[in-house]
Amino acid sequence: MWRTLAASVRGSYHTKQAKGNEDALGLASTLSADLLLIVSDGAGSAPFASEGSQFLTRKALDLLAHYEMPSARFALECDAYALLFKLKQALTQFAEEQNRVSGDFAATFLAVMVGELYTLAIQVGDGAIIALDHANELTFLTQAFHGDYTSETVFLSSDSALVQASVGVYPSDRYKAFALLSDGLEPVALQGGKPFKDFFMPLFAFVQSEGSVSQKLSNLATFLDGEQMNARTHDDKTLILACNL
Amino acid sequence: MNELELVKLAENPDPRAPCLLLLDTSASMSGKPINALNDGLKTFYQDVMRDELARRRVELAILGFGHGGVSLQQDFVTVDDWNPAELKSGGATPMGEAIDKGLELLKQRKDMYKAAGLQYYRPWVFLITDGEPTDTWQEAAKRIQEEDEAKGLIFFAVGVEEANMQKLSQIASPARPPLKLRGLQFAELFIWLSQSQQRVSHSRVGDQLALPPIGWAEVGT
Repeated sequence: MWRTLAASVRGSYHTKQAKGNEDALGLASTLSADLLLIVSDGAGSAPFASEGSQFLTRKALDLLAHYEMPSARFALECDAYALLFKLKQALTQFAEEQNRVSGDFAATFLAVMVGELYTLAIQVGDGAIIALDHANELTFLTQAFHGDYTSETVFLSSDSALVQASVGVYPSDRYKAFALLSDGLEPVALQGGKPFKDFFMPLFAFVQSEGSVSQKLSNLATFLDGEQMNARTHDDKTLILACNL
Repeated sequence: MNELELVKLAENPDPRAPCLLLLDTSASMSGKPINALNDGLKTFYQDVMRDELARRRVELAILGFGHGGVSLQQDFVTVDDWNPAELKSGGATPMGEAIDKGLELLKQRKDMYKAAGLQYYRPWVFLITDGEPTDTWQEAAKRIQEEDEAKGLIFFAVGVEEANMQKLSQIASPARPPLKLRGLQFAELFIWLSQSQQRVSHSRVGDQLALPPIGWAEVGT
């Protein structure tokens, strides 16, 4: 049985600029997946960043609700690209309905879908999808896209979104926990470009601990908005944690 | 006991946002212009210092051209550690040499970032002049334009008062024509530069960075 916790808090720089939280997240169980986890991070430079991230999250939950995961690995990989294509199309249409271009709603897209046989991980842009295996090793399930410079990434609205997308398919029995995070958490959750164990292990323990879920959700949000955290990262921060008990 | 208290945050060095200023310090800048420029630099310092994160990330270097030829007034330093010194004016306008030296300085800095494993933003080069080059500048202009086009840097050229805007438009990147400073509004220019650098050092960019509106330039140049 999966136990999940998630929180998304506005970054200190956005608070200063009187901007809202431009991250969005979604959690569900679907027809063929025990677990569907989604994080989308609106581009700070896009005028409708939060609408973009919310739209992508909602649309992906919608498209995947009745999707039947195939039993062949290759078919699953193909479906992942088909999903991204549909999302991109939907975003373009959504933008056109408002006389805008999809770049105005630029957002990254991260998703994990845990089916009976396979686990699918999809990433367009930065942020990270991390998994914990049975030997307690942390690993990335997808590769984040970083440009030549630290500030550059790709968004689902970008021309090269599907080319730069990272898709991974893994046997579902390989991992016992997952974490999805937006790029605002990269400075504190990754060290030397790798998942930072001292960050994730206590968090997974926290998910598995007893106690009221609402209290834990509120504690997680407080933690993400803490003073120490904001001293090191100024961006919106979104974290989804899932542990198989 | 709350497990969250056991969570340790990773320690990573701040990414750097290099900004190179190529400043005309020739004889024609004497008097009001050089004083306004010096005041502008102080305004820039004060404005960046107000931003906790930008002051640790924005790295500034200043190459003057004019007084003492091309001289390194300030090697790359985070704004946190910068102490703005007064620029003096005098001499000719070796702009071509300044651009060349600036490109070399930037290359060294990028190499240093790579060697130290530091992440960095695309460097900005900001050239300000009130005249025209007194040396050969064609090759240097070509080089900086090529660098700009290859996304190695972002080059802005600003003319002040009697600056030869026509020549400056040959030096500037075709994609980013030179701007003419309204009067001696250096303070406005440097506040804009500071705000832009704060955005750069905070932001994440897909295709284009949204810069604050430019209120310090004359319209129609």
